[in-house]
Amino acid sequence: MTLLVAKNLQIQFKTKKGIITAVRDVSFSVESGETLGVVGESGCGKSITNMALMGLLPDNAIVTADTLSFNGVDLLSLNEKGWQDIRGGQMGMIFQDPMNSLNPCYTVEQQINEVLEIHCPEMTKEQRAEKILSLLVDVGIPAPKERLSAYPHELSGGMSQRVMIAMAIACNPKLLIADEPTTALDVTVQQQILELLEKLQNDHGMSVIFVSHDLSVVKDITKKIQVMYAGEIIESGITKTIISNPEHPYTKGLLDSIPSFHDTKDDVLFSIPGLVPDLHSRPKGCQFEGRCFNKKDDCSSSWPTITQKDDRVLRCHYPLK
Amino acid sequence: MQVEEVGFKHSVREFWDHFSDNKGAVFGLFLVLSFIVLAILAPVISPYGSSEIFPGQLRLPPFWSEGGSFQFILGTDDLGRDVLSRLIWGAQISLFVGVSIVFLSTIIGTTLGLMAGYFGGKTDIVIMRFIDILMAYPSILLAIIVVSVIGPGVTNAIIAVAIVSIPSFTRLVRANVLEIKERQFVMAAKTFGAGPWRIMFKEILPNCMATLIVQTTLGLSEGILSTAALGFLGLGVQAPTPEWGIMLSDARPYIESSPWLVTLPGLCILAVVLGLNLFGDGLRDALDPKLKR
Amino acid sequence: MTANSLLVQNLKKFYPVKGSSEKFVKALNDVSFTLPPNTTLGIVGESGCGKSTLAKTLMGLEDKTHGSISFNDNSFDNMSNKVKYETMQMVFQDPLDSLNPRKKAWEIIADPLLINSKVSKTEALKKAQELMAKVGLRPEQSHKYPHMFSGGQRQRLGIARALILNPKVLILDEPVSALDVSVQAQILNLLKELQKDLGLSYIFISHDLSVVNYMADDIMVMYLGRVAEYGNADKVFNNPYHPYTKTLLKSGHISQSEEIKSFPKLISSELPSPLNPPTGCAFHTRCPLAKDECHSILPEVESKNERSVSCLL
Repeated sequence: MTLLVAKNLQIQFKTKKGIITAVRDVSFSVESGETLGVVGESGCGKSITNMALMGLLPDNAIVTADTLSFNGVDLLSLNEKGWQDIRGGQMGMIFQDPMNSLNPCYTVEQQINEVLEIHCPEMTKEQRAEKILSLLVDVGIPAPKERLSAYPHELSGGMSQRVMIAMAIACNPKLLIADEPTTALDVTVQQQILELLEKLQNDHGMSVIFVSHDLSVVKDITKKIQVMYAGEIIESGITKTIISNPEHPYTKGLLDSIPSFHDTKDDVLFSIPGLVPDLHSRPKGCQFEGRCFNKKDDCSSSWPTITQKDDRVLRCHYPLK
Repeated sequence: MQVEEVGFKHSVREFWDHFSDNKGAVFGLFLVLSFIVLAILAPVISPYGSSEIFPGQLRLPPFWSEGGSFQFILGTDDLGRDVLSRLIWGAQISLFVGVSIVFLSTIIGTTLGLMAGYFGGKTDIVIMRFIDILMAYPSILLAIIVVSVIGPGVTNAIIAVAIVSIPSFTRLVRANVLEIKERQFVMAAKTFGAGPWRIMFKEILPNCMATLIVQTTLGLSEGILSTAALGFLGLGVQAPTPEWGIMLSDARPYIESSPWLVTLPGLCILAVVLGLNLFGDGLRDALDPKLKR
Repeated sequence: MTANSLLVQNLKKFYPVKGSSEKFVKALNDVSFTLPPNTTLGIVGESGCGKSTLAKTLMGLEDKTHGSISFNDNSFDNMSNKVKYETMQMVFQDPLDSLNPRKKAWEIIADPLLINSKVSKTEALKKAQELMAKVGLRPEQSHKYPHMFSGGQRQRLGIARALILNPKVLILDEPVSALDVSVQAQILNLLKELQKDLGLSYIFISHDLSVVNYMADDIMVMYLGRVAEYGNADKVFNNPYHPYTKTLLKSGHISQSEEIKSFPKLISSELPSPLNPPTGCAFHTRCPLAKDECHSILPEVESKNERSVSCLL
């Protein structure tokens, strides 16, 4: 079953200097129980897309789409009350910086309790207490009983992220959006959080959108992946085939810039020259044209459309073979 | 590349974009500017001298009231002096006094704040306890105490009010320093041998400027207000100087018979203080990157 | 002793614990290494392992508790500050935070020069512009402020500032961790190129093992202020001795060897509190291979096959 469908999603912001288009022509879907990886550099629109899915964009944002539906609900027509029901209930979210995402004034128990109070009002106090404890066990917090009364500053980064995950899955969400959940953590902790996410996904049958700038993290935990650049999806498909055989020059460049995919250290590391285009004055043609090693004359004049071949979606005039 | 053309001009324009959004602030700026123009052009535009006495023309009302004339547009006071001229010269005095106060208290307050924040430890304790003592008194009371010790007069009033204004600068700068000194560029400056004074004044102080400028405008209005209060109490600037506070105090006996004599200087004080406060608030909003979208 | 090497011996940095005169947080404990010219020493470990304290202590931002630092057989203790700054400089993690937002690019770069030697402003500007060209920035941009540069360009500014005194050693504290992958590659390439041109030595601190693997000739793995393993980078990566190194390599997904992939999981993910470190081997609370003796006996740093390891096993 398809849980989330976005067709031709466009996100614009009204600013002093006019309207800027942060995300355009983005179409994707998430099946239930599947993990979708979203990769791209900062400013590529991956976080903004997620904010739109959660209805958390600021007031000056204009979201339009042919379809934007989640579990049969049209997200574009929701009012604030409707959003509140979905957010934290059917849709959970974890953020990059766990230390800043927890309120320092409340204990672990109070924070998880609040989520349950809002979304599961039918539960009694005892049921909630029981549920909180079982959640902490689920997310692998050692000595969970003692941690109930702990304040966020008493927890390490990894622990805080586990508490955030417990809050996000408290109401058995159908979709979990994980926005760079391991970037702020040490490698050893990162590995454990990734394993935890995989386990929870299997246990609960959740769908996960996993956002990261780090391809080496995404490749291990996702089946499908989409690469974003300047607010567009430029390549998407099965993770394995994309990583072993990228067809978009940007994906190839991104992969080649990561030292771990290199064998010898005498190689000069491949690097993509130049900068991401300014969203105020987007190039007329392909957005990647100015930095591309494979560009031809018409790349700068005509905007490539999405083409689909087998499982792979591509936005490029001259894909690599 | 779009980075090319931007520069100082760009940041001024950006600042003005934010500032002009706030209509109140623009109005405040207009008020302040008009008083500055008045003060500068006082010798040219004021119809008479500030202490020029017209015998027999006592307490004439402004031109729009019965018995008023265009010879004395805003009337005359109890000694037969032109009110408009006195108000215009008064603008000069108020601005001079306000600027001197802010100048003194900014320099002293900022230096103390920088030292307290940057050195910490004993220096911090000594400076901040001194500041606490200053703040333990209501500011006007403290100013009165200082004036009664050193005696009344323009200079002494300036000193008294400046001392009273020091704490707000010190606390503000100290809070800023505590935050900025943890940033990496301060550590970087240490790694190539910058000394503490250089770090304080060349690395940290420029980053406090935005908040300092705002505090300076607000301090200016407070200074003008306190000086007027001292003048009113007879402890500040002495007659016959056309200071707004003294004009208020001199007019007190005639509050019922010649109400314009109290109202007009009061309105001037109100306008300047209001203008500076509106302008200061607008500055704060425009300079604070956190409030920017 | 090789000429122009940085030699660090038994470096210790203890912080006193508040309210107690005998308790210390041992942020650095017995750290020794040799850094010959034109080589890179990679330092890895989790947050709180002492990487940053090491950088600060070497730079003189913190006073050392014990040990010696010397360059070319001259002890840092007997060096004037000026000579010290001309020996070693540092590049910081966050390129925006480490540049004063109220200064122009050339002022930022020229600051060390203006402070440490008597040069005129014109000369300093000229030198700063030369360095901007060297690190791949256009000298015309010398009058811009840091916020007008992109992340990668800002880090180039930081590198230019560190180079203006012609140091022999650069401490690079997570220089690319705040940057995007494609920009990261540009900076890493630049650092390698500069090393070749200027014969610099790098102390490269990073939590990213793949980056360290790409950059480093030698590698030092630290755990709770101590050296866990130190040796030639290729050898350490291909055949790690210490269980902590193995854990890191497994978590970082960079080793292809079956031994690492099948290495058992950590017992606990939590780093013990440095206020109250475990007795014996500090790693025993998490080590999947720990035996009884690990709880009580502190392993000394031992050298075998040109490698230092502190593990009883």
